[in-house]
Amino acid sequence: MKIGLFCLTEHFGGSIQESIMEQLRLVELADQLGFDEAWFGEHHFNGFSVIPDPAAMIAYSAARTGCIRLGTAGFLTPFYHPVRLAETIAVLDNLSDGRINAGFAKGGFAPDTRHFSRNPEELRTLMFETVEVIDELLHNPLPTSYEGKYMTFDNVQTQPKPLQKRIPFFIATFANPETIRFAARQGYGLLMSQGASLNECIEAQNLYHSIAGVNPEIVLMRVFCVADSHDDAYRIARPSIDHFVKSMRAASSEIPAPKWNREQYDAILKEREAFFDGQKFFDNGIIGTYRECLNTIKIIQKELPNIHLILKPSSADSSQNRMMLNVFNTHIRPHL
Amino acid sequence: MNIGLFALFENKIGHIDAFDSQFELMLHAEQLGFDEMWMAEHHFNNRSISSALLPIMAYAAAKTSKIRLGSAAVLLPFYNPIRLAEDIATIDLLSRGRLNLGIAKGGPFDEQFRNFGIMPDESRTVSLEVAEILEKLLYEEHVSYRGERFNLENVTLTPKPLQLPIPIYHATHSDEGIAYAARHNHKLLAAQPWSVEMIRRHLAYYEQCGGNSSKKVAVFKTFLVAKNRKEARSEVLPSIERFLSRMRDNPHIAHTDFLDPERHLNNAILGSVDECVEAIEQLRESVDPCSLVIKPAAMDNHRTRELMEIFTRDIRPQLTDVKEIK
Repeated sequence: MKIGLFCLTEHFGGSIQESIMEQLRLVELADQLGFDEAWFGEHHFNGFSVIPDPAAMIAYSAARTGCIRLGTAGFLTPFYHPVRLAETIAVLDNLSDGRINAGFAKGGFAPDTRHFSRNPEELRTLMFETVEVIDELLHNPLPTSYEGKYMTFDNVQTQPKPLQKRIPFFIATFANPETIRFAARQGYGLLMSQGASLNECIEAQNLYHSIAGVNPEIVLMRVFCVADSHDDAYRIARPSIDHFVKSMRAASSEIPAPKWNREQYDAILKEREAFFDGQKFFDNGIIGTYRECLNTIKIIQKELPNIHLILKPSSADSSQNRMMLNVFNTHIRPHL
Repeated sequence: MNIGLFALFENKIGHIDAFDSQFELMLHAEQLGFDEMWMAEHHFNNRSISSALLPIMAYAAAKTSKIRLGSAAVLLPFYNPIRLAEDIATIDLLSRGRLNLGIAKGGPFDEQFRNFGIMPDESRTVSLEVAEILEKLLYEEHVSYRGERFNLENVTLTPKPLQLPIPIYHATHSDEGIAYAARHNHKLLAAQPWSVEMIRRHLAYYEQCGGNSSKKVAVFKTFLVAKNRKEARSEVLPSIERFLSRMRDNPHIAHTDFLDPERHLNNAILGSVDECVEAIEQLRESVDPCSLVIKPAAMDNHRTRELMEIFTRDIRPQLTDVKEIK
């Protein structure tokens, strides 16, 4: 099992710059504590989770850390030009001495699709095509030509080349079968959100296995809050999770225009709701005393053999978050 | 006048070497008291590999603490203006307000336009639209914009940069570009092979457009110091040749005087210590630059370091209007 830190650069007060620097210091601490990975989200037009440019955060962290692997969870792929994103991943891989994990998501907040001029119904296909192009650009030594529904490239060779022979790719999914099939066919791992239940992860794993013949690497985001008592842990986590959910709802509050494809529209709405269900964050979180946290993790580990458990310390107070990472290392990790 | 170093991330052996060796020089420049570090953006180029320039600048922000970090230059037509503004603001925060934003419309390289899906003849229009939107997004709330290429409606970005405003430098030699810079009180970037006369012409036009041209241009110069000018010229030739060899296949440049090594030699700062000091002083008197950005014309890091050291030890103290290094 890999252990990681989930980074959303949450801004609870003070200056935004301080919140960003605090997040980056937490990544340095995770590196010192021997965490395997740090994963950075991407959010736009968002005054709470201030992380529109995960590549800059990774580049900065690459300079300040030595061992920890650095990933995106994920690049909001349809809002990037494939060539530029391939160049970015390759440069980051060079700057970090080959420590990059590339995670891709399709996005879907209404302001994002509006300001980046994308049709919400095309996001998934756009993501698939963009990821296919990037995979070719990064890993095929020959120039890339590609003809998709949304993009065409002729004889493109990007520079630099990545340091790793193969950059591990991961695709974010809310247990969407089409996305899981795509990942399984390409041999990519899966990114699952803080709200995804263990059952949803198992179903995703089973579907993946039925296509690929092997279990996927699953990068699982989890709210994490450890305290001396069960009640304390919930008391610490509740306000920040509540604030997170409210902020995310506010950031995506523009209602998408009605669509002719009712079924697809419903599916989009369902996904968005799952993302903003604060109760699911709690139900699936790793919250409680260190013994309770340990038990929750062991249950996950039993069901999902190739798990990367990515902790999102969920206090609004940065010193408390640092402490929780330390407690994880001294009281939980040794028993896993 | 600030003193800067130009970084091209030249790939001599392997990729990791290009980044490692360039950052080693960057840290050395900071220790020597250089004021600025300017980094190039090149695409589809296996000899100058800083394609994703903004992540490289974020990395530089983490590695350094005092030196200002400049882009030379961000190629505007190949960016989405929203994403560019977000990235620029983030990097300004990460560097604690040390960003100098150099911008350009992209050189005469067909591959860039083809692969990023921009027509060469629209690059100037798109470029100026991106520049205009960029500045609105960095400093204003609820930005709306109607252009030929971009339509924005009610966009507010977080984060905002630390510097209000971020200094902007245009790498341009077109009247339209210079006029835009003058109107917005932006500075200019002058490329290595540009002559003093050419820069003076640009500044005169800048004034004509209503700008005050005092300390408005960062001048980039190929630099090499040797026993005398003759030796300096012969040492500098291989690196000029290396640069020009990449350009010879380009049909847009093939028949211009750009490919004449003499043009590059004549506009470089070359010679003995005293000759270099004199050339810089003349440059200062003629165009009053805000920055002199040197590109040591050496083929390896060892010699580049030596040239940076000689500049700092022997040349810099003799220059007028340059900060003393403590």
